[in-house]
Amino acid sequence: MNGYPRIILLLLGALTFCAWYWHPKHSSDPRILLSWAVGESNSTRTQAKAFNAAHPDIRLAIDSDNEDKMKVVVQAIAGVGPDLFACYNAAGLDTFLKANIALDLTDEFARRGVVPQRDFWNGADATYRTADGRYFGVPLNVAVDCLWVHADLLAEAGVDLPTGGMTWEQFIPLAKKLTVRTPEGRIVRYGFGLNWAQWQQFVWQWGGTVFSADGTRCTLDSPEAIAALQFMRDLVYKHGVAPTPTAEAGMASQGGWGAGLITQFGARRYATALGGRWWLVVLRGYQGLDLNAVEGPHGRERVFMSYGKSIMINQLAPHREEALKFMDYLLSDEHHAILNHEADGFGARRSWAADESRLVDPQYPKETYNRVWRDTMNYCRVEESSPWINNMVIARWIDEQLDLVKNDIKSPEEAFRTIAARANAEIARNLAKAGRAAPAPTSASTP
Amino acid sequence: MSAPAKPLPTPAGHLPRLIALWLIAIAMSVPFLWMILTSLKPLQEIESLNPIPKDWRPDNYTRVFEQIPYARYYFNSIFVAVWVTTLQVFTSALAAFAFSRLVWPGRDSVFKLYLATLMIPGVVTMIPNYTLLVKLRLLDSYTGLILPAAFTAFGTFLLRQFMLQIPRSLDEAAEIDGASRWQTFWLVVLPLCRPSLVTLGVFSFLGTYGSFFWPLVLIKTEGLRTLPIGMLFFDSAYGKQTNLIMAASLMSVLPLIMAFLCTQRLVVKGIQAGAVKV
Amino acid sequence: MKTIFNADRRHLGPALLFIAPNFLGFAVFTAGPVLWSLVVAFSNWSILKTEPFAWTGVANFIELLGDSSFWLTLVNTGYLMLGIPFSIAGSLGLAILLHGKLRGVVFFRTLYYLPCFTAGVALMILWKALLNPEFGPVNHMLEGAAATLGADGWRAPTWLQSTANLLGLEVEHVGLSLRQWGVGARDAIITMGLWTAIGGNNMLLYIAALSNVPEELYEAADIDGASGWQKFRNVTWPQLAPTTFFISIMSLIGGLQGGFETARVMTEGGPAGTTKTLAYYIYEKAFTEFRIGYASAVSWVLFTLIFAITLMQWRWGAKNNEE
Repeated sequence: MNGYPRIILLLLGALTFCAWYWHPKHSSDPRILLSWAVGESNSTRTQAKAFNAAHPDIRLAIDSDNEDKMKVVVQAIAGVGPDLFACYNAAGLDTFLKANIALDLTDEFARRGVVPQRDFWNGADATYRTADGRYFGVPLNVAVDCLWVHADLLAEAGVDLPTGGMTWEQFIPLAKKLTVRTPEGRIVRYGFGLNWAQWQQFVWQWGGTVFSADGTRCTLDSPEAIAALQFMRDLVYKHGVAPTPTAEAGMASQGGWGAGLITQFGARRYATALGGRWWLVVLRGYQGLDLNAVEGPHGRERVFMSYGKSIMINQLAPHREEALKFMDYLLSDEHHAILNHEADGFGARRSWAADESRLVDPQYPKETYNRVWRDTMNYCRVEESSPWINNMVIARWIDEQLDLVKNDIKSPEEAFRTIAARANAEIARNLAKAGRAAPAPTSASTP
Repeated sequence: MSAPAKPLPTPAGHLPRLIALWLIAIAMSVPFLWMILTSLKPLQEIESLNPIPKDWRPDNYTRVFEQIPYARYYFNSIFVAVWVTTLQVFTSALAAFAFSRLVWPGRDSVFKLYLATLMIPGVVTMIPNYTLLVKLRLLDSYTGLILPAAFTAFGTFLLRQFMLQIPRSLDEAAEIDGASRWQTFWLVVLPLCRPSLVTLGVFSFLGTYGSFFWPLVLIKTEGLRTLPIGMLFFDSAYGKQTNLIMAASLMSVLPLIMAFLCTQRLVVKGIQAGAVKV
Repeated sequence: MKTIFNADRRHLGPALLFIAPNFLGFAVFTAGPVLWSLVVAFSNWSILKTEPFAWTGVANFIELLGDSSFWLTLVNTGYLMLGIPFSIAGSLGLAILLHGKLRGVVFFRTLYYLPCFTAGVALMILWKALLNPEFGPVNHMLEGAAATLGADGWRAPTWLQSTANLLGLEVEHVGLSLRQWGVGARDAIITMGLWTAIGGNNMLLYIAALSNVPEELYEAADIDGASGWQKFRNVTWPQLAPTTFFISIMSLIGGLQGGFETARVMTEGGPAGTTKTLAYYIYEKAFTEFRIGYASAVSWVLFTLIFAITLMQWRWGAKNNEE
């Protein structure tokens, strides 16, 4: 048996040596390493590069694998978290606050003479600003969704889209014309790529809201909100201009990168879709696209949802001073210019986008539609949230119910009523804990 | 022992049985065949009804290596699996020797303790183990993948059962010759255990190689991922390049197939023997 | 003659040396965690530290009994376990086919065992592709077969995308409804499970057990003029009882704890949470909500379930074996 142990030991030794030699964490770099947990794209890469160029003693590295909110929290608490991380929505803010890993930047803003309420677009508000007016992050970008269209497909179908905004009723027949079927009846191109995550915008456009003004009541059971969700469902099942989940999964099958809306749009499976200018980050990678953008369709109310992401600093991370330098960078002109060039939404500062020259990028002359986004920002509202309920929990309920409506298992009315019932019960529980009474249930209507 | 008569004799005898066997064999192997054929197709042909590619693309296999750090994943899986297997087999053998050949106070109670934990579902220990590794700062490291998995009550149990069958006279003879306990273990008992060692080794390797939950939860750096996690992300993140994903799947399954073909007989015997004892 | 086999205090020392590495690991990574988890199940411990640590007594257990998603995942787990009898029957059938003199037995046995041996993420991804409703070969074949039989417009089930199931289980609460009747994600998982397990360990165990059945019993049956089916029912099946018993217990235990990998890789628990099993529920509670205390409570409930069912089956099996 003498032979075998020797072989095994040799094998172990060789493997271990290789593992040590090729260990991914080895670095003899003298610069201070800041890890930034964010999705990797041309835009974020360029931003990191610019920051590193301006700060030769720091190395900012993008860590996109650990971008997930849950991972950030656990790793941060375990002491191995990123120095900087991204927060995309109210649920994220809630999570990071509860885990107590986001650094309070209110004083830092004051020190720099920046008043976010006045100076910034409101799109990212829900991601870094708490109800009591404290700031826990710096907005990196804000965006709004407009209607992306494939101009050539429109021309082919003889469809003309109005540029000053149109109602959904006007939009539907156009979308129907753009939906193409095979002779057997299977749809190969849909007129509209519906993103169910945009449900809040639909609710607002129909005149509903998610919460009452003070956040003590969830108003999704109002007839307006239900009508909005019903319309979303009708887009798929009544008008047939958007795909069912099965069809969507089937389309995801071949070609293109990923199963997302953007990539399918880029692959021309949809003639139109509501999306942000930041879609260009992906769409520029497709050859031969003839794109245009117009203001998205609206309902009773001409309002759109503005969103964004903010960057937070890990409270528990060692290099706070260096991380704060990144905060300065995010407020700088250079960053705004890069963002604009990479089409990754708008930078936080409102004033920067006012200049007309910024709407045209010499490197991308065909992108003549940039004005649309800037102008639509004027009709924007920000994601609603309530201090009386954990936004992550309600986000999960909404995902579940939307899934059911999407699959035609549940009616929109039942779905929203379920969410509202659960949410109001939870809010009541939290209010009671704080010693307050819940508001009397009313047949909800717009506040 | 000669094979007794079949319990289901058929008048036509051989033929229906053969047909059934072949039909089932085809049903079992069709998914694998589809996997192989699809891995050789170009992207446009994946949807087509014809399973056989018109345009053969063996370069899909090299493209996998270009798209994701597949070689790294492979290395990580093999590295971790070899370490875990070696540690498991070695420590189990040591413990099994103590349980089977040595008599010491408390031996049987401790062994019952081992047996008791075999019944505990993995989920119960998952969470505290993770918390422990977080505290020990072993998150996102090779050590974190290897250490918790290196100790197994099951392996100890298996080897002990086997060792009990080895006649004591051999030990006594060795002792008369002046061998120390270690030498008895290393030179006399262990070589006789080879079949069960190999069986345990194969199943250890199999289990670690395919281990999914631990690497999923523990590893954050892409360069430390193992194959199952790499495959999971390849499937979801890189869009539906089904041909490449099938190529990657096939390559990841290949060591298992080869390991099985080499150790088949021992593995089968191991399973059959291990269960009969229960 | 003094040998090393005397139960002697002196032997405690060397024994400890032998057992040390294994026992240390066992204590640190198995026994210790088990105890810790039992203790923490009675508290509200959470990694997020949203509330101060407190002993909550049985509050976790009460909460989980009232959580509808707990019951739903329990039902899902039970549903997925409905495939177990088919799997065992299939293994028995294959073992019978492979039993006896046959050229190429090893070839068939190897082929049948292959799916079990290579099971893992790679094969799950393979099945995900096979079951794709629009482009997967399974539906191509099914629809092709339907077309040749004359049913041209018939669309095959959407497998992993559908919440339908063969029992008509509802999605949001425990109940049955005709609307949910059909073939869906759970059935897809059962199908994949059958393919993987039929030729697996159970089959090998049955093969071994079959060769241990004494010939004389069959000869006696032949003399009595028994038909093939009667021989099976009166000779083979009772003789295999211990093996069947062992296999069923192991399958039950495995079935109750499993399903995480499948759910995570193939469906992420979807569609609409219908493929979430208890293991997935525990994972969610522990690693997406970080409620360690609660998740530990649930895992101990699972343990109790497994223990109870195993005990019941043991009693029932022992009673039957005595007949």
